[in-house]
Amino acid sequence: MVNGSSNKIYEVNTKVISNTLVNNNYKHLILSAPSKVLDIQPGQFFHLKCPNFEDTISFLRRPMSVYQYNKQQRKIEFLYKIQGKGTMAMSSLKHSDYFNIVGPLGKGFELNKNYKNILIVARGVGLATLAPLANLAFEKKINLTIICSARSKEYLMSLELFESLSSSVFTITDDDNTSSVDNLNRLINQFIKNKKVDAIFTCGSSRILKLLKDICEQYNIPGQVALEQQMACGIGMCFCCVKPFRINGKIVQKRVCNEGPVFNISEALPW
Amino acid sequence: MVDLTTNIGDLVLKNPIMPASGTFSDELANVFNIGKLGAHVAKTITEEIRSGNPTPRVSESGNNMLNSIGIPSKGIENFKKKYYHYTQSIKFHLLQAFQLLQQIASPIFAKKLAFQVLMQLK
Repeated sequence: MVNGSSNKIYEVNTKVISNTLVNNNYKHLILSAPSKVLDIQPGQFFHLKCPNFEDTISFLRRPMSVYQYNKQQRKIEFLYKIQGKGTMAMSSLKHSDYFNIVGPLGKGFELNKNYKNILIVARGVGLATLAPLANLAFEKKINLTIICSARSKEYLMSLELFESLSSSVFTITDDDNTSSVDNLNRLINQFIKNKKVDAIFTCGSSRILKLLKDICEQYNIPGQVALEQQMACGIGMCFCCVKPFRINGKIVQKRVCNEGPVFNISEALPW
Repeated sequence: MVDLTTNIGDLVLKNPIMPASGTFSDELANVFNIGKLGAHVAKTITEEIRSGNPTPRVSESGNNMLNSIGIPSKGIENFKKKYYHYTQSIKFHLLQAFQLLQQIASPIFAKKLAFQVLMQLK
C-alpha cells in the first residue's frame, strides 16, 4: 500500500461494556468488538461515530487513539476527555448500547528490535495514546522509563498501568511546580547520562515536543511523536487533516490520518 | 451477470461506476475491493507542486460539513512515477487528458495547468 499501513480497515458495530468517569473531565469507555478489528499497532486510532445526543448531531466521526485492546477477550478501550459535542455525546453511552467504529487506522509507533531502553514522555491525554506502546515494550522485554506529566495528580491517568510495566515511572505536575520544561530537561538529561536511551516517544504537548526535538538532535536519539488533528474521512482521501513538517529544510504537508498519526520527532513541528 | 460495459469516447469501461474526483484515494483499497469499479478518477493533479490551504480545512455544522482543501497536489511527475506501473493504458489517457485540458484550462490554472485523470481499471 502507498504511504500508511496496509492493514484492513473495517466498519463495525461494537457494544458498550462500560463507560465510567475517571476524573472530572475524562471517561474510560470499554467496548466489546469483533476480533477482526483488534489487530492493532500501538498508536493507531479508530474513527468513532458519536451518537446523537439531545439536540446535537456530530456529522463527522471523531478520531481517537486506542487506550487498551485485547484480542482474546474481544475488547477495545478508549480514554477520552469530554471536550466538545462529539465527546459529550460519547459520554452518554451506556452499558449494552451499540457504538459504530472504523479502524484500525493510521501508522502506529515502531519499536526497533535493537531497542533495549526507551523513554516515554506523556502529557495529559497523551498518556492514553502511549499506554499500548508501554504494553508492547514490556512484552518485548524492553526497559521502560516513563515520565507522566499533567495539570494535577487527578489527571495522572493510567499511572497504575504504567507502574505495573516499569519500575521507573516519574510523575510531574503543574500543581507541584515540577512540570516546567527546565525541570523536564534536567530529568531527561539525567536519564540519558545514567543509561543509554535508544529511542524517545511522546504525545500530548507542544512544549514537550519542542524540548524533545532539541534533546533528540543533541544526543542523536531517534524519536517518535503521536499527533492529533481534526479529521473528516480518517482514511486518507479528503486531505483535511494535514499538518506541516520540516523535511530536508522544506515545509511539507502530511496527512495525520494516513502518513501518521505517529511521525519522526525530527520532522514534526511544535504547534 | 448483466453486462455493464460502458463506452466513453474510445474508452471501454467494464461498468459505469466511478467516484467523483477528490472523493477517492488508493487507501480505500484497505476498505473494499476497488477492482470492482469501472474507473478511478484521480484528485486534480497540477503540473507543479501545490501545498493547498492552511488548516482548518473542514467544518461541521448540524447534519452537514463544509470543506476547502485548496487543491493540494504533489505534481504531475510524482503522479506519473506512482501510477504508471499500474496499467499501461494510463499513459495514453493521461496524455489525452493533458492535451484536452491544455486547451480549456480554467483561469485559476492558466499557469499551473490542472488536469483530471480517468484511470481505467481492468
